[in-house]
Order: sequence, then structure tokens, then C-alpha cells
Amino acid sequence: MDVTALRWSIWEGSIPCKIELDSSESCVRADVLPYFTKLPRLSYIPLYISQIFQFFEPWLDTKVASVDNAWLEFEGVPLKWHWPIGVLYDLFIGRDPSDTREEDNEEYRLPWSLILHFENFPTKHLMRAGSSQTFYDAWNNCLKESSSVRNGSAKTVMSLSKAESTKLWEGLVEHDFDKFWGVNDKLISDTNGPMRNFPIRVYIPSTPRVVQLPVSQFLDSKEPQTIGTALHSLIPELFKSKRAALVARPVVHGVVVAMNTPLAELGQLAVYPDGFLHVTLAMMS
Amino acid sequence: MATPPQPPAIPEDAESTDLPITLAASVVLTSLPRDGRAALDAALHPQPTKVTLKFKAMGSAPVLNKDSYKIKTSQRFENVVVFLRNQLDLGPDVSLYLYVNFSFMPALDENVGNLWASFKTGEELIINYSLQSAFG
Repeated sequence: MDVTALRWSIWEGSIPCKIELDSSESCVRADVLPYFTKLPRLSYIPLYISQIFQFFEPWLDTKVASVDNAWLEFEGVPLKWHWPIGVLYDLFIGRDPSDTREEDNEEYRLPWSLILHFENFPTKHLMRAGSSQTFYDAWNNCLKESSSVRNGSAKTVMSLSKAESTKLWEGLVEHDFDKFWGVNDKLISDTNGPMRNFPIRVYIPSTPRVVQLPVSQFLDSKEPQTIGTALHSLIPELFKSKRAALVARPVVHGVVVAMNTPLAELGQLAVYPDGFLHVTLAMMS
Repeated sequence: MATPPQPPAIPEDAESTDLPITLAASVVLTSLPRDGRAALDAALHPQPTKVTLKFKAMGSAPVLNKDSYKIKTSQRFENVVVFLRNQLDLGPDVSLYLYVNFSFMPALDENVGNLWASFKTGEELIINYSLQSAFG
């Protein structure tokens, strides 16, 4: 298994997006064409919002509209800026990627159609984004949380040198694979001692519910934990079987993952930039 | 033997903060077979239980008279922050930082049940709070 090549392929995953303004908002001065762009799955909305804003700026009343009060919506749902873009897409499209029927391809065709807003910030659902420092803090805290799950403390993150922390952050901001993984490899390495628990978040679809409970690397039988055994212990309602997907399939980075995939191996390849393995579920019709 | 007194409860946030459902997702959901739908409903609405949080002041932060409170596992962390600010009677201009596991500040929309299950010490989730930012 070529770990670097697989990490690279996942890192390069992106979602073609079509972003439009909400012309009913008073800060929008004229009808304007949509903005087409490609957003990396392993990144976050705040890292692209300036670029999106700049495109629309000539058509906006900038006394009202600014980067700080911008927010994106997909089909009536505000997109949480502190969740990875790939997770938002997989979760809210809700599609079973293994289903390739014609009519479904039509239904779920890309680009992902998003609406950019500046008014009526949905405070009930979104945290205030504020400055770029706010996003850094949110990401860094999540990284420390995943590290605490993995190692029992956030020591691996907090003991990075200033140069390493900067490189990791710049790798994320610039979407630079070598910079990011050059440091991240150290954070998820086995040399930090035996793994306490595996950092995993599972998103139950519709109005999403996040499940994050302790999942050990090995079962009591000393067998390695698989995605199937983990889901069976986390959400027995949807995963009665440890081996076969009966009503829902696990999806990571838009791909259905086999139930017998060892969790630790998957984690080495497929963790998101916050150190968690985010798993969405595709309900089987 | 007398049972120890129960810690007081943090009031529930009555307002629903559930995200609406996208059209794309609802198309998928309406075409689910009955057993899939029932399993999904059960997984989405676990019976909330109550867990204990213990607050510990750091540095110059004021100390609480009572430091342990019960809270429903269905609540968001935001509710804990609002409750603690009220208990400490902090003005809107005063910053308050809440830490779990001596290291990170949970996002406001994180579920209290998840945090408790992942980071509890004994049967309590310890929350350190400070008026200054800590733990880099």
C-alpha cells in the first residue's frame, strides 16, 4: 500500500460548486452571474470565502455585505463553516455513492449549487465566524480534541515547535499537501505511544446527529477494530451486523467503505485536517 | 445508607437547534424501506440521560458556590457556556474560556453527551474555566 499516493489522492479530492447571490437581499444591487469554483474536500469554507466575496464585490453594497457576515446555504440549510467541506457535501447530498442508476445521476448532478448570503445570519445554527483568527481557533481546538481522543492528551499538538505549527496551518490554508502532511504524519504516528481511542465522528443523516464515543483500536478479542465493528458499537440501531451493511453504508470522502476495513489503517490515510475520521452514512433504498 | 444529595440541574435549552433537512436528503429518506426508516428514527432520537459536569476555576476566574451540575446528554455545549456565564454573572464584555481535558475548547454546537462519554474522569466531565486564554 502506497500511503503517500493514497493520502495525495484523498487530498486532491474536490467538489465543483456553483455559487449564486440571494437577489432578495437588499445588499445585492444587480442580477449577477453565478461563480463557478472548485472547493477541496479537505478544506473549510472560511479559507475560500474571501475569493468568493471578491468575485461578487462589484455587485454588492459593501456597507452591509462583508466577508465577516457571509454565509453559505444549500437547499435551505446553512453550512457549518467549521465542518470540512467534504463532510458537508456527503452529508447534505445524502446520496449512496454506490448507486449509479441514470435517474439518480441526473438528480444529484454536479456542480453543487450553493447560495451566498449576507443578511439574516442564522445564529441558531452557525457560530459567528468573525475574523480568520476565529477559524484558526476552531480548527486548532478540534485538532487538540482529536489528539486528546487518540493519545489521552493534546500533548502531540501542543508540543509542536512554532515552525511546525506554522507549517501545518499554512499547509491547510494554502492546500499544500507536502507542508500539511509533513507535520500531520507526526501527529497521527504510532510513535506517540499506543492509541487510546480512535478519533471518529459519525453523522446520522436527515437533521444530522453527530456520534462521537470512545472506540478502541482493538476489540476485546484482540482483533483489530473494523469500520463495521465500530459502527455496530456506536449506532447499533443502524448497524445490527458488524460485517454487512443492511440499512446504511459508511461513506468516507464520498466513497463507500467496506465494512471489514481496519479502522486504524483507514485512519492513517483518510483522517481530515482536524485529526478526526468523519464518516457519513448513505441510507440504502 | 442515605443517598448523597443530587447536584442541581442545568436548565434545558428549550429551542430546537436541529438543522433543517435538505431537499436532496429528503428525497433519499422518503424512498427508504420501512425498516431503514425505523432504524434511522431510533438512531436519531436516543433517550437522553443526565450526566454530571464539574466546573473548576483557573487563575483569577471566580469560584462557583456549587461546582457540580446535572445536564441532559442531548444538550449542546453552548448551553453550558451560557449557564456558566450566568452563574458567574459576567458582563457581555468579559471573555470566558471553557476547556475540556486541560487542552481544548469544544465548539458551541458539540453534543454534551459525546463530550462526557469521550472525556469523562470517573463519572464526571471536568470543565476548567478561565478569564484568559490558556493551553496554546
